[in-house]
Amino acid sequence: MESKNAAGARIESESRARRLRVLVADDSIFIRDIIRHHLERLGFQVVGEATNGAQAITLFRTLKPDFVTLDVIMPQVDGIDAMAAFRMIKSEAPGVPILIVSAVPFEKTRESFMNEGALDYLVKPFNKNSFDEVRRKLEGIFPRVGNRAVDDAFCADKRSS
Amino acid sequence: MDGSESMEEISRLAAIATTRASEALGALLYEEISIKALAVYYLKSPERLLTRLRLPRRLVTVTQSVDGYQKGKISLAIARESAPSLASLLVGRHGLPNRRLGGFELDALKEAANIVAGSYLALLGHPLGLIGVPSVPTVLEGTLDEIALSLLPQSSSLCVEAHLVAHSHGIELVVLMAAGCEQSDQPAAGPKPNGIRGARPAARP
Repeated sequence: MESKNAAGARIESESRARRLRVLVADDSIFIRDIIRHHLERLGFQVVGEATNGAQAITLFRTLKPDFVTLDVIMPQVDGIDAMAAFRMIKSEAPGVPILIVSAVPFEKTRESFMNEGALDYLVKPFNKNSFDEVRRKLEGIFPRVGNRAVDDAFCADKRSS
Repeated sequence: MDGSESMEEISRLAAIATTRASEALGALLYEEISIKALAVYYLKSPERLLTRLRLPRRLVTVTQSVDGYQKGKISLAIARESAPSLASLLVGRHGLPNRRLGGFELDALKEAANIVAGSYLALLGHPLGLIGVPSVPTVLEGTLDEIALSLLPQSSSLCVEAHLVAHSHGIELVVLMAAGCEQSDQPAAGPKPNGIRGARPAARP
């Protein structure tokens, strides 16, 4: 018979296996922490953090995440800015949603990214409602995002039994 | 507007931008941020900034450059002794005053400046000809005379200066948005009827 600890670990592992994997690209560790907080609440697992566009591309190829967040203003490395990183990721994996985050609410910048297929363009600072629309869009792509609360309740129930 | 923006219009947009910046900072700090003062003026030379800006002796500034039709800079300035408190508020920790600003705290200050800059650029970027993507923020620490030149894009500038206060912690933040401007010999403040040369017509926000 499986011990309670082993069962807990197995359930935790199953739960983790169900979680969608996200790559967060932002040069600010402060903002990466905030994004991580919001995405974990949505049921994502942050599997990688990039501090510039070039690193985002490298990590994207290595980690193959389900979802990417990309800051608009990051230091350019190897001539790759956010738009270049966005286009490379989109060309390699058109189905992977990319959320653009920026402190600058320029309509033209927003349009450029949205026209090229960004999931959404989120303006900082975030509040508790900032990710609502993102969540709705992600639910359409990943139905299990919406089931996260159910998953959590299920796991908590199993752990306590 | 024949290729120019009136001083009244710049002042009006600056007031809205300052309100938005205070709201954004408030959301970031979980604090009510009030607007203590707002001024729009021309600077004939960088030296005039020394007499114009009322700032504490030692400062921390976070500056971003923005280019477009004009060269511009947006800075967030705070007293050196307030910087750790502001950083602590941002990261949700209570630090000791005057302690060293670590990487995470500096990063939080840069992000706050970035967000404030976004509020101003959204409204004033087009009218002042600053339509490019802002640079990564740069942090400087020193006295105003050491730092003043880094706050201005060129010798003559049109400046928007706003003083914001986080009352419960007694922290004053100064925002200075400066755009290169040919018309430099105007007296500070006050409406100007004929427009600002070098600025471009705005797409209404």
